[in-house]
Amino acid sequence: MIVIRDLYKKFGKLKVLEGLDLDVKSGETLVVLGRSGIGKSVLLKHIIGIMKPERGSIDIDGVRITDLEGPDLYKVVQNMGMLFQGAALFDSMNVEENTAFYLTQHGNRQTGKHYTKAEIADLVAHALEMVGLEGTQKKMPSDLSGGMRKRAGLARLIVYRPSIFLYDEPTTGLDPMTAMQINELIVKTQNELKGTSIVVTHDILSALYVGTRLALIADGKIVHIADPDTFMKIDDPTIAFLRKTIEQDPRTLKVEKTHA
Amino acid sequence: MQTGEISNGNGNGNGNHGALAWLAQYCGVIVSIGAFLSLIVSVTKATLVRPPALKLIFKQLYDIGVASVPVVGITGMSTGLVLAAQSFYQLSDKGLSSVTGLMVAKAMMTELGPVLTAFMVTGRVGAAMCAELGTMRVTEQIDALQTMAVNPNRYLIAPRFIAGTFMMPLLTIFGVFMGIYGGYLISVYFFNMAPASYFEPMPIHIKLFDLFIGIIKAFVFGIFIMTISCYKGINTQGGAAGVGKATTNSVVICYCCILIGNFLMTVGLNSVYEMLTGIFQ
Repeated sequence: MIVIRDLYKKFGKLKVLEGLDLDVKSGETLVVLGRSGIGKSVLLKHIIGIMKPERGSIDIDGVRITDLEGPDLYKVVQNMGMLFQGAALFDSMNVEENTAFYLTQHGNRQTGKHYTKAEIADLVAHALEMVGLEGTQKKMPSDLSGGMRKRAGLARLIVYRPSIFLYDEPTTGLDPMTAMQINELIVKTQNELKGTSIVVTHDILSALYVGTRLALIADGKIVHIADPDTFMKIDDPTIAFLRKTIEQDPRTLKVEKTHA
Repeated sequence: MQTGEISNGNGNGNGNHGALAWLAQYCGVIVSIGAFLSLIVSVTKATLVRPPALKLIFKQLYDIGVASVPVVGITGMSTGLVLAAQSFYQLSDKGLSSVTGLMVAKAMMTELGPVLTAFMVTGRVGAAMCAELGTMRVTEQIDALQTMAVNPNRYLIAPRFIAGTFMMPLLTIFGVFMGIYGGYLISVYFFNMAPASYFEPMPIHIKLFDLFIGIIKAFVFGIFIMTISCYKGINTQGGAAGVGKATTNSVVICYCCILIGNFLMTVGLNSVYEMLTGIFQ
């Protein structure tokens, strides 16, 4: 369970988060929607401890991570994983080394047991197979397309099975087919690993496809939060715009089919 | 960030605005120095609490040390060649050509060896290091490290810091050796000096302190280069342009610190030496 209370963050004079409150239930996939630059990624970076708020608190399974520093913080962070907008693969490492990175640093997330090279190779191969990137172990990130980089980034998370998944704009900049592949992977990961997921996006179709609850962020706060059906019926100009977007998007058919 | 806040503030009139801008700049420098010192402390702490993997240190020892050998060798030798040639031209008509070797050795050991090696390492290693870390910062790779519970100070900076401070004195000794050898080559094979007269004055006039001063300087320059390059790299903002700007800044700051530090250490260490020899004599 993630409990966020009264979160404030500003950059210089720009106020990004202004008293944001949010509860994320264990095992759900919460999608945070909002316009670009509204503070969605900043929210994720606070949850995973990369950023510190000016005020407010974030509790993860009862541990107040906003009060933690150094090794104590890293101990909590070990249970989380984040897929970055640009995948953030390490340029100097190939796909296999990128995917194996967590395992070589920490070993097994739950037991702390260190793996042998063969065990790591097996786990990496399995994770890459899950995201449809089998046989790309020796490729460098620069050799991969945008969609492949995202999938490799996802494999880097899947391989250590975190209990909390954070996705920062997972479908941004991808063509509709690749975006749908990523959406399917997020759902598949959620079904297989049973973690808690927070997906930040401005892609409403992606949100409807992967989310069990949707939240709308505006003016530094969560202004609406509900299950997808209720959310889409809320009387709000932004949500009305989202409804209109859906009607015009050809991918709608596929999303409807999945929800049916 | 504080700089931005203050400089964008609504001053009352031009005078106040100017004063605020000055104050902002002044505060910005202090904040940067504070952040720089804080980085050094956290890197030291991270290194002592849990030292970085030997594999990472060895990689940096190779990148910083072994890969810099050719450029340091060429710089040292060409400096030795020029120094010996100039000394010979200036001193031979006064009958002082026999001090050519001594001049080359003394200058290389105490001043030119450490400074020129530091310049080469700044250009070859420091700039690359700053650009690499800067790129990692703007492409969120450093954030990704943190999300996988890896301390970037321990994983990225500590190995570079350890390898750089260890390798700088070794590279300097190599550069000095190449300089003396270069001076020997031109003196003996071009100016027809007797090999013995090139080396003879050295043991008489060169003290252990001269070697010591060069090594101390190299060690301090190593700390300057590694910390400044890493600090500027890891704090890069603003995409590709930001990486370029950070790299240029880091090289300029390193050069300035090396030159100013060299002067201060020359004066300081010689004063200490004179004081100590005065006490013990």
